[in-house]
Amino acid sequence: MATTKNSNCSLKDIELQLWQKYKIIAGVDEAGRGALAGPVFAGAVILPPFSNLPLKDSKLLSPKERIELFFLIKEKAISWSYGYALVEEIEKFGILNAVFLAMKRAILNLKIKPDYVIVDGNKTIPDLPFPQEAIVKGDRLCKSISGASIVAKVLRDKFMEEIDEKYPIYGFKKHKGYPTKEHRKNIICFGPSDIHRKTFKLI
Amino acid sequence: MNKRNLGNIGEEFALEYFKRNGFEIYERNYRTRFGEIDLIAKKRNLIIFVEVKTRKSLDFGEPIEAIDKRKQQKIKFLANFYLSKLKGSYQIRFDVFLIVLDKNNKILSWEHIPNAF
Repeated sequence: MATTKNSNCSLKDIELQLWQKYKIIAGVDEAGRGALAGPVFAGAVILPPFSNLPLKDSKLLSPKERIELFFLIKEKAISWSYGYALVEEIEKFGILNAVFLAMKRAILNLKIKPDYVIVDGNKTIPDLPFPQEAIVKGDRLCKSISGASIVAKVLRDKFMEEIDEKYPIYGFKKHKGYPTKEHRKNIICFGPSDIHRKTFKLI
Repeated sequence: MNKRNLGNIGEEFALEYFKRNGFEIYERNYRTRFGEIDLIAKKRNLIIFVEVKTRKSLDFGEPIEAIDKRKQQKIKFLANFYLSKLKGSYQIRFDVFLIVLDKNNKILSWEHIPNAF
């Protein structure tokens, strides 16, 4: 599963080391794993080797900053894409497998096929037709994964803002489906909708 | 005299210094959503990103101490952001310009540290 191949070099240089071996590296990350409603999104980004783009973990950025960097990714990346897994798939396969499904879709949607895939976290994606490696804290250490985290987060937020019009009572525009106090209160008041993940404990 | 004006005196001085040393000033107070760089200047193929620090002589500590690791990372991030909008490739350098003012806001001493981080 998670490889420790690169543990002998400085963590910060993982991506630089990989760029010496592989030309087309795709970073993958997910957004919305912990939410109570809505699909889980994944982003995949292939940057030019040794890219110096100003990217960092989407969690360290404000929504407006993320959108600005998303446009930069669209302009400068060799290829970028996204994938998602629907609420029904999350309920059927469990959140972890749904995350893998979204990630796999994101990677397969890339117009250019990667030589190597780096995945945020400690688990690699089952049945992926490309060599891969899981990198813990990859969203901070690798520019490609930072980029993927931005793509996933921006697109999921946009999706949740749009779905807010269909389900205005829950306040998705504000919390994007994450378990905030307001969201929990609204679920208790109005009951879960069909885009709530009914297998999640809090629902 | 507030902090802003104090900084202005320093930045004016630094700007003049780099102009006289053959640099073309690209940006002064380059502002983005992500933060600000005091000075961006170019000479031939070299682009420098300058952090200007101005202090009153009675202030505590050396001005260089105000540029910690975090601030450096921020400036590097902003530099990458700036470069991503440019065409062509350049050499880059991060400089620090330190200025100490006396109580009448006259320049007491200054120091240019090329390649500071």
